[in-house]
Amino acid sequence: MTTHRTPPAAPKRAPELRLPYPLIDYLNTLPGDYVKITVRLLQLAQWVPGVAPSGLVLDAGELVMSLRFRGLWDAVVLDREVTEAGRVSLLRRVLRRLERDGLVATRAASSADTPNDTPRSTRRDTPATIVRFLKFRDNLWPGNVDATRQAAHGAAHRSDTILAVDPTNPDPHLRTASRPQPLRAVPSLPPEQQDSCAVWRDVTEDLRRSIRAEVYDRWFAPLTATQTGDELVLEAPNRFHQAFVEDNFRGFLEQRLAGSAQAALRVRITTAMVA
Amino acid sequence: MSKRLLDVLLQLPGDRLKMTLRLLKRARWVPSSTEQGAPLELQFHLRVEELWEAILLDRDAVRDVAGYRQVLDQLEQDRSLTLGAPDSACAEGRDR
Repeated sequence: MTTHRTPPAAPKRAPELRLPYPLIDYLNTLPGDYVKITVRLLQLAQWVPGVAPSGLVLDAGELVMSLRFRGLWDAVVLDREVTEAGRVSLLRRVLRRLERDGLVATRAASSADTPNDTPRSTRRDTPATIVRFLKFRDNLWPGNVDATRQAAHGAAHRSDTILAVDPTNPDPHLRTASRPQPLRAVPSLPPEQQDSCAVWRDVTEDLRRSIRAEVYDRWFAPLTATQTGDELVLEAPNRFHQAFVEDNFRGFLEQRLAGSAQAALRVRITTAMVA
Repeated sequence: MSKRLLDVLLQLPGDRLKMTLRLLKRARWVPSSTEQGAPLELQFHLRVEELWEAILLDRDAVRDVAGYRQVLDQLEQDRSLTLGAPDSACAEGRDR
C-alpha cells in the first residue's frame, strides 16, 4: 500500500471589492440589511470561478448558492435578529428586490443540482439558486466578462452539475478567485514522494495543468491517495468534500485514468470522518 | 474596498453602513488633491446637505451625525482612515 499526500496550498489574499458609484447610490436607497446582504453577495460572487472544472460555465458575476448557506451570514450583523428560517425569507426578499430593480437575475437550479449543504428534508423548498449580477458587470469584474466567455466557449465538456458553496467553509477565501488566473508552474514533488502512488502523481500533475491552481488547491490538494490492488482510494477530509469530488470530479478522474497505463484502476472516494 | 474594511462595514448598523458608503464615494469623487490636502483626502462638514440627500435612512430619516462620528472613529481605530481638523482658513466652503 502506498500513500501520497499532495503539498498544502499557499494562503491566498482576498481580492478587493469595487463598488461603482452608481451602485453605491443604489445601495443607499435600500434598507440597511438589504445593503449588507447585497454587498456580501457581491463579495461571494467575486470568488466564483468562471468555469467550474466539472464543465459548468459560470459567467462573470454569477454565484451559485443555497439560500441556507451559512457563509453568507457569518460576516454580516443584521439590524434585526432573525431566525434561520427568517434569514431564508429575508434573502428571498432581497433577491426579489434586486431582481425587480434589475441588478440581478436569479433562477433556481434543478432539484438534482441542489448542493449538498441543503438538508434533505428541505431540498424541495430551498434548491440551489443561481444569482447573476446584471448591472455594472464591467466595473465589478473588469476584464473578466470577455475572458470568461472565451473560457466558456473553450470548455470541452458541459454538464448540469452545480458548483456548490462549501458550508464547512465559513468564508469563501479558500474558494477560487473570480478573475482568470494564469496557470501556475507545476512544482516537482518531493523526492520521497516521487515513487509513491505513481498513478495519483501522474493524475495530479495532469490536473494541475488542466485546471486553475485555486481549484486544484481547494479540492485536490487535501485528498490523500492510496492504491490497493486495482483500486485507487481517495480520502477526503470531510463528507462534503467527498460528495463534491464524487459529484463533480469522478468522471474527470476516470477519464484521466482511462488514458493512462492504469486504465483498469477503479476510483473510490472516501472520507476520513467516520459516519 | 479591502476585505478587512468590508468586514468592518458589514458589522455596522444599516444606516451607518450607508453613510460610510456615501462618504467613501465622496472621498473618491472629489479631486484627488486639494489646496490644503493630500490625495484621497476629503474635507467635509457632517451636516452638509449633499452628504445626506442620497441616503434613504431606515430610522425615520434621522440624520445621525453622532453616528457618523462614531463610524469615523471606528474606522480610524481600524486604521482605515485618519481624521483631522482643517485649517480655519479653509474650513469654509470646502464641502463637496
